Amino acid sequence: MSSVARQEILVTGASSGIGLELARQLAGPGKRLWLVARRQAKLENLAQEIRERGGEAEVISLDLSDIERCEEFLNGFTKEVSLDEIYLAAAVSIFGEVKDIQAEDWERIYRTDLLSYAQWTQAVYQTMVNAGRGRIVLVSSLAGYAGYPTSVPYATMKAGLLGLFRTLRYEAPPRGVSVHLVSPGYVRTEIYDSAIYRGSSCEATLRQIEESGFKMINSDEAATWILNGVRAGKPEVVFPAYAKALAWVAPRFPWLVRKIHARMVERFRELTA
Amino acid sequence: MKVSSKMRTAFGGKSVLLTGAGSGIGRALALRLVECGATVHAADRNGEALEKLSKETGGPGKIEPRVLDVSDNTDFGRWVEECSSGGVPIDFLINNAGVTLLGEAHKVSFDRWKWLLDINLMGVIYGTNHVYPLMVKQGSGHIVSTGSVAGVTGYATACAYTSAKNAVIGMSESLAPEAEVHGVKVTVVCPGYVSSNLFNQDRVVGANVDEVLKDLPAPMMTPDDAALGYLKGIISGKRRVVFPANAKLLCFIAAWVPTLLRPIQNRLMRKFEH
Repeated sequence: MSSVARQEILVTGASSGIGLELARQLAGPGKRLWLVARRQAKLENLAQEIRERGGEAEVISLDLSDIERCEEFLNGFTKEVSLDEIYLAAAVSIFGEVKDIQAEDWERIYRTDLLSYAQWTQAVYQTMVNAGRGRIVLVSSLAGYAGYPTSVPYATMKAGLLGLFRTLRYEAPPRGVSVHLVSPGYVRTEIYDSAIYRGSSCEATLRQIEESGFKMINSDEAATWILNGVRAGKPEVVFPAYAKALAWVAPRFPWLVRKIHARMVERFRELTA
Repeated sequence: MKVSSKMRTAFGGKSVLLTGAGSGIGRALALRLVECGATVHAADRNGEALEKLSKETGGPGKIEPRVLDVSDNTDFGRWVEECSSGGVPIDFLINNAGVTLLGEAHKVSFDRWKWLLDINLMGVIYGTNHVYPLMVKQGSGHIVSTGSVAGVTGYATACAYTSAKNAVIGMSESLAPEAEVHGVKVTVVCPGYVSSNLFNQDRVVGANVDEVLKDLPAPMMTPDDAALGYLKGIISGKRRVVFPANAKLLCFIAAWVPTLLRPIQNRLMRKFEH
């Protein structure tokens, strides 16, 4: 029965948040999940859960910001495994004003949130083009469309993903590869616990989000939004409704976004004063 | 064309840090800024190009050339220190250094993606990160970065480039509202096509550069025209400056009817497919 090929799916950032939920919801019989993240124990637990439900899972413990190490890994991996789908969902976040952000913060978020995406996309896309099929899903953020003062490094890298997508969406489909950019609004994940805070704190950040009236969704809801959109063949998925509206407004009515930005900065300063 | 009196007022006697000053639009900016009476700290990787630039400039301002690779954060920091030593204020930082690379995404190696992102994005970030805190302390200043319409529209065969440029746009527009209260302005300038050495065979993977240039969807500006449009844009104080008219039109289409971009994108790929 070798003609019935199993599907090979790789998920980065699979140890928590959206990546973890994506892996969970993607898993099933006939599918092999490659789970990539730094924390091996968390991945092992997830792999166990997937296997119990009749799927296959492999654990790859890698620090995605370690570009050199990942290059070595990808060189070997892409020769051995022909992926059907890849979901890139690993990210860090930084909250604080640019004047307080350190050089190493910029370096870290650049490597994790943009350079790593470029690296994995490029490597896997190449093999998908050769195979004439495949799917690449980039987990980005509303911040890529609308900007995000007081989290400028994050908005910068997410805008970089949007720029990457805006080109690849034209290059990839004629070669049989579909590329999706999925951009959630606020999602309650560990990203807030592991974020770097400069002149701010997790509490202040969450409080400001809560005050904004934009409801935080859970990562399992986010994963469902993403998979529904991707399966419906949508290249660009922005959710929930308020995020979709803001992503629509941002390029068309920049003056409106400017007002929102000014208010965000003002409130940030009140909360962290 | 001469520089306007408005430009002389805006830049005369000012201290400007300019990267990528050795060629293209950067070189034209340096010459025009000196004509306005500015002290231009002109950085470029290419020392010879800087020497040539220094020899060509008259006055009333002056050129302070400095060899710099913008992707070297430590050296960037040293340069900023040199320029501001003795408490000399920095009035403008123009993050202009950039490279291009054309080729379908699967044919361009990751090394070259990284090379481009390191220069076009991190070069801008390093500059901003070194200069912005000084400007906050001064309570004044203007950070200008060269973006690109391609970041907004996408540009088939320039995946890494559009990624870096849209990141620069995102950075600039998210920083602007933070900077306002400190008296610091932040602007991203997106010029259309400028004829310069950004386009040569070394920077094109999988196609002939002359063939590719024939397919450009819009005419190219001379670096000097672009520089004048650029300086006018800085003076306007806007957060995003787009010129000329054809570039504005492209941005408008990208915002309102992006599906109209598809035929243009397909045309951009034509000379690369075989």
